Amino acid sequence: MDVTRRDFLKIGADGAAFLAGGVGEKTVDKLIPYVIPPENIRPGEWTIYATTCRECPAGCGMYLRHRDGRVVNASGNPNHPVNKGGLCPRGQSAVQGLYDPDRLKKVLCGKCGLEMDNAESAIKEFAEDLKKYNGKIIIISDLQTGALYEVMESFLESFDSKGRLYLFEPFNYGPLREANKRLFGIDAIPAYHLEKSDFILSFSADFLESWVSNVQFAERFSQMRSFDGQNMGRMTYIGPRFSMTAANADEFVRVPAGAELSIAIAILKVIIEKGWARKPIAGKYESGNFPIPHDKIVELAKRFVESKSSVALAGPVGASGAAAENLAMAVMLLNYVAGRIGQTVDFSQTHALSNTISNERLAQVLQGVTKEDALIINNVNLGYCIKDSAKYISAAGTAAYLGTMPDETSKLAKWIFPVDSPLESWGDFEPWTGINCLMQPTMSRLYPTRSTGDIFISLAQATDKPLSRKADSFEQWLKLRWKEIHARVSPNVLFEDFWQSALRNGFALETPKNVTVNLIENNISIMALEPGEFQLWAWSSVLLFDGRVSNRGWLQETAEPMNGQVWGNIADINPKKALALGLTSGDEIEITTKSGQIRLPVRITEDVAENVVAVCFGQGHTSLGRLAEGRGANVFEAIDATDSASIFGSATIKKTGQTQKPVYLATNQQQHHREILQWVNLSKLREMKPGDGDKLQLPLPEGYDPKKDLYPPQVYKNHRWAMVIDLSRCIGCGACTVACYAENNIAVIGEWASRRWLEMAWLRVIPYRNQEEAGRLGFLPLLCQHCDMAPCESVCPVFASVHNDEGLNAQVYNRCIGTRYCSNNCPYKVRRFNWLNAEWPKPIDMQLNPDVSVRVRGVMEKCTFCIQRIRAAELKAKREKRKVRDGEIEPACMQSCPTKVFTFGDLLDPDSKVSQLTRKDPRRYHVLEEINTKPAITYLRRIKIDEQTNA
Amino acid sequence: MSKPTLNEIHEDALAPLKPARPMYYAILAILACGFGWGILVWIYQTRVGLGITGLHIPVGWAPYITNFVFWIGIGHAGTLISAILFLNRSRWRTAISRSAEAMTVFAVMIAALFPLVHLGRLWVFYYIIPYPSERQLWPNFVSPLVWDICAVGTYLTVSVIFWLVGLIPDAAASRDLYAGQAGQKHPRTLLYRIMSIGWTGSSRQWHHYGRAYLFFAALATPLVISVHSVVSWDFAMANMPGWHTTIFAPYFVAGAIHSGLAMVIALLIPMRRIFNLHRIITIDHFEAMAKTMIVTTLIVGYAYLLEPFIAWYSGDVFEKQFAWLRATGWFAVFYWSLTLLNVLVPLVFVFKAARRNIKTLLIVGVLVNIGMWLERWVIITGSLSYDFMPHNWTVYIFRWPEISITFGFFCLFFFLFLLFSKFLPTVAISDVKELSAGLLYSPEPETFITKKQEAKIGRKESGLLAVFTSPDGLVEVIRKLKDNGLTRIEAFSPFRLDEVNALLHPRKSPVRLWTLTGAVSGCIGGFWLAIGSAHVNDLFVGGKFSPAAYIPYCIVGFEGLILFGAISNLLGMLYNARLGQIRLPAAYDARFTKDRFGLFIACASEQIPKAKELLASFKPEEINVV
Repeated sequence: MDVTRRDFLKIGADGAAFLAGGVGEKTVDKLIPYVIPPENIRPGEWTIYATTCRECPAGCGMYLRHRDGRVVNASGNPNHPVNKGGLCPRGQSAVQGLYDPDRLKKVLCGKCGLEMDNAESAIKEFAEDLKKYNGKIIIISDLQTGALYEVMESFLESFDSKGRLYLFEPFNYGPLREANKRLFGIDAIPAYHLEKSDFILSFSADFLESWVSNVQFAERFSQMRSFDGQNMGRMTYIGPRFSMTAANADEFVRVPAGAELSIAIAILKVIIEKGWARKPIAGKYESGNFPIPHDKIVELAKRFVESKSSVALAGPVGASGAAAENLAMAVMLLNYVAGRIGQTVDFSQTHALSNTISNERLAQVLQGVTKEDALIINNVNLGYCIKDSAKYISAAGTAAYLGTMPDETSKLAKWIFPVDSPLESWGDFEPWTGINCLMQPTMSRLYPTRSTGDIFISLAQATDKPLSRKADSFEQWLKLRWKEIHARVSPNVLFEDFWQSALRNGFALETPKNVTVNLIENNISIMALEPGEFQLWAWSSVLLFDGRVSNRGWLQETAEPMNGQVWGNIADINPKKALALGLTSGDEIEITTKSGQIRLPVRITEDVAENVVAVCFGQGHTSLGRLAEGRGANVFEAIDATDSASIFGSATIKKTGQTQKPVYLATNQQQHHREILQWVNLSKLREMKPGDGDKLQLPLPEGYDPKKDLYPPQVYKNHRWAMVIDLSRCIGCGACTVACYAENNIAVIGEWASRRWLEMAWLRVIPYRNQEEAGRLGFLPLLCQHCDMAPCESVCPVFASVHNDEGLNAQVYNRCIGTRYCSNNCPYKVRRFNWLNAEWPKPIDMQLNPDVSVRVRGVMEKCTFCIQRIRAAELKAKREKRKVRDGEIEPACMQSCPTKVFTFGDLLDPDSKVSQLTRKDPRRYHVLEEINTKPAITYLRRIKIDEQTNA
Repeated sequence: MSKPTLNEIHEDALAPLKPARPMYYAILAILACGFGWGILVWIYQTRVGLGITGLHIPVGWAPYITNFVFWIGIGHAGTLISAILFLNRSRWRTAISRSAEAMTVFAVMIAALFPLVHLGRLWVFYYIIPYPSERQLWPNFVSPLVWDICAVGTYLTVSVIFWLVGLIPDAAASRDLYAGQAGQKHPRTLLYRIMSIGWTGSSRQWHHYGRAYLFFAALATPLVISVHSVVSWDFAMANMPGWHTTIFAPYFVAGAIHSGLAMVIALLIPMRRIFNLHRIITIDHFEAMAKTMIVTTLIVGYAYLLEPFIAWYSGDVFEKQFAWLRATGWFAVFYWSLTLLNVLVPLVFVFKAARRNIKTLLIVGVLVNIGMWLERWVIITGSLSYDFMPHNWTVYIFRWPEISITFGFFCLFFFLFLLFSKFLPTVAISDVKELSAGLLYSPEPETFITKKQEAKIGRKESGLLAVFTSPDGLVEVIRKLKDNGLTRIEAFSPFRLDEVNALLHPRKSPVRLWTLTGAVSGCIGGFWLAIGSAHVNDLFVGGKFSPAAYIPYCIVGFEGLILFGAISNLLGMLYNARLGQIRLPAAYDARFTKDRFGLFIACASEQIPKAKELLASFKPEEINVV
């Protein structure tokens, strides 16, 4: 063999590279992924783009932190009228959606079964195809308002198919809108001003998890719940399942499924009969049997009417059909008789979801599809959430799918056009009347995708069909539309200035018109029907929503707030039912309804009523991506909306004889008298003055007692960082956990490793039960406590765990040899060990935060209080020759929190918020104070309302 | 059984050194394969990460640290037998001390490997070792893991030295045996030649050797007690319920000796049978060990009772719940079985019949070892799995990697022990010979001759060599020779003859000064290292400014004292006994390591007839002119 000198060197270099690369450490290939970078990229500096979250129809304002050409993480836009700075886990996972390795990357022509690299020719070909269906084109799209809605409408018009655009969302609140339509003639979801109310009565409405606009409601709820020194808002939750929202109520009334309606009617009747109604109504109301004492009904009725302002909400999420309609109607009447319409229930602002079609209407549309029709499905996963959709879609002459993921629907379509992620495209969205939100591309495209609007425009151009606006691109179209908004909102400023400010703010507001709401049908009869003996109860988790986000590791690996499960779903049944069927936890059951069957392992829990089997939405994907597929069961397949007595349909269950092992991260919710999560009674709290309460061993020299502490304390010169966590505000949503994953390059380890409890979350929200009361549960955000006498530090043989001069309990990864002694000795068990090498399949590695190192196997890691943000703020202050301002530093968890649970700051500054709370708040306590670790995290006890009536 | 003669002892003890049967090599190969598998799994685990084991948060330590504590514990019996019983003048120790020491050395070697196996980043293990490096960061002497490094490192070094020093006279015996049978060039002759570093059994060597051995024993005794105390502090210094108890140090030491003795019994019974050592290792030896085990059983049992009592008495909710969970939680079955195996089973030794029944001894030995392994596992894993936060409570499940590695290292232990039993004398031959001569632990004779009269004899000097069959009367011969002006005398013997030594080497051995100097400077050095490096680091850990945390540094000082005391004792012995000379003196005869006693009189050729005449009345076996 002839080996030239060059070959020899090549082989040698390859060998050396192989040896050197053998350890497998992670590197990102390019520093800035452009040949010629755009002008606004400054290497090593953060840029923030304002945009709108499109992970669900809520339309929260989002800030995307952008670095060196890549989006790294998403947080809430603090000025946005919808979410006011908070962002739920799903919103934060938008970046994982952008970088999802399973994304659609190429135009696929299913008919010919070939991938097509040239999108241009594919569009031309498809346009030719569409010509044949002139006048018979149907578009089914996810909820769109504004420019894209206009484009699609105009597109259909140009193809003579006007009026065939259907917006559909799996969670469309059809029953609520139907109720409003019948009662008030308004087919809409009104705005609910929870922050103005002092009593919330929720009938299975999980408004903190996924109901309509959860981040907005969480923020409003926390305002309403905040203790003003005398009082706080109250909430009662009536429903068959102890949901996360129910756990945040003062009172959870567990009733059998179907009884919510009886109770709503009973309360309504009490209000009418006792003459408490502010607005009189007539009608026939039959409550039927209900399982709670009449006195309780009277008490609820009285409180609902007598409160200064109150609001009743009707759920559940994902409901459709007559039973849910009745519930929505009864609940809306409650609001009406108590005079809450116009007060807490505001029809002047309605939600964009009001434009969607109901499940029943969609069924009609789909059933009407024939060979003559061309079906274009935009970004709505009908194949997953509508039973038999395969049949209907294949009935169409041609079907195209526009979306980002290879989901179930994409498998049914003949044409697949990959579209931009919402973070790559222009757009606008109007979640509530008058709130015009803008979306802008926050980074250059990862793949040769196009925006949905551009595809429609190109299709129209390819067939020489004129559209309603003269625009060559969707961006142009959007600008033309915003010129109209500009004319309405602020005609006095120049458009360019208006546009720039809208881009910066992410939104432009219009004042909604007032509407008068009159009851149009006064003589209604609502009958509570006796539902079947046993029913299905579907519920939506704050993490997975309707299943569109199921391919995101952060959401799959964050424990479901109430049951602690990851990577799957389960069927919850009551112990009595389990006993009757001879079931034990983990047994697989088959749930059969009129519409279908699903198989799931059971969890036996008192959290659900005896007559339901509760199943979470979002799993059971057969397609969507590697992380989502083949996990749990899809409850959409079993929901039966035809049963007029039951919301999700009657069900039967039987044991299959097999067992499954669901993965739970929190194995135990009982506290075993350890008083880790503590409550304080409102009556007691009212009598306490600032400064009363526990004497804490502070993580400062003053916290040291020579009688107890052998060594002299550390004296801090500049800062002593600390945090206060208000347990009364924490609703358990897990936004902080996901924010921490995003900010700190925490690895997603997958189901196999989660099953072995190898998860890496630095911050977890732990649900703990009250020792005395079965139906009371609190959430404990648990992260490193940055103790002053940290037990982890002194045991580390190599000083990998040390205290820094600002009080942080620092972990030096390079030094760590992996003895795990620190973790063993940490009483809070908040340290995480890299048991395996993390995997970051391309291009998800682009999400990695360049300010934070990526850890290799064998080292311990933990919360750093986002030291990279602390250092950045300190540097900035130094450059500006000033001190760090209180509140200037926001760790990721704090920034993302919709309910403002966290307060971070410097304990050395006596005026800082954190100092004030740590020293004076009567609710303050330390977790495991008796171990004398002097933690820097002070918890504020959860408030328990111990009085029956309002003061 | 009649008392064996010197020759019989010699033959019996060295019989195992004869070429092995194929079966031996087959077993050795199987054990090597087992160990090799363990090593492969270890490599795989290092490449992939510890996630393949059953470890997780909160159970950060489980099988590997259990093995570490277990093997360290096994090692304790060897040091107990060879050091503590030596100081106590227990005669029964002689027959088993060598095997027990070998067991100690191998067990500690294996134990020292387990902290490496459990490390997350094996490739940077050296960060924990205190040495000046470019990192300019010293280990944290406040951490119990660094105490472990000091204690186990010292223990391993001292055990190896102690064992090798004990082997010197017997290695000489083996050398002479092999030189006679297989020739000087045989590799094994060479091995023994190196190991015996020029041992001749001269009274000068015996004189310093005896002193040095005593000091080794004196240093090893506090060391053996401290090592398991330090190991126990890995747990007792942590704040976990189930770990954080003051009773741990004595409890662990007793437990260690308990398991160590059980292991000695379990090892010696088959070894005695295979190598036919019935004449040397008798049932009395086993009975003595069984009796000792009753003591350790009672201590261990007391600790078992005290733990739940203190948990209840403390009123601490975490302790109380942990005590309850230990008895009823997921590992309750192991908890109760270890109580049975460690306390109730060995209590059968209160019956004499049980103590003298080989089968019972073997069964109890094996069961106690299983029980003691479980005890460590329950303490470590159990306490971790029920930590402070109930949401973390998990079950630890053994996975194949830790089972493989544990199994592989058990194979390594038996592999090494088997190798030892075939290649090195398994019995302390000289001690046994001394015992059979009735001279062991005879009172030390008074020294009465002044320093000047000590004879120094060169290696190549010529003179007269008398060979005797018995040590009786040697003292008189020497006195008589001396009275007649023949003062330049050296005696050779297969075991220590105190009176002869005192006569020929009346000066107190200076080895004691060597040891003292080493110990004092080691102690100061330990403190200097710990405090000095803390000042270099200048860090705060756990609310302690590390230079001010002087209490933990006492451990480093102590380990320095033992380590440097032992090393300097060794050097002192080598220097004073003039060991290290590979070529033996002309007067030396191979029989002196077997069963003959020699008397060499260095004199000019004209004095030889006179010497011959004086010796004749004592009837030496032969008289040679060299």
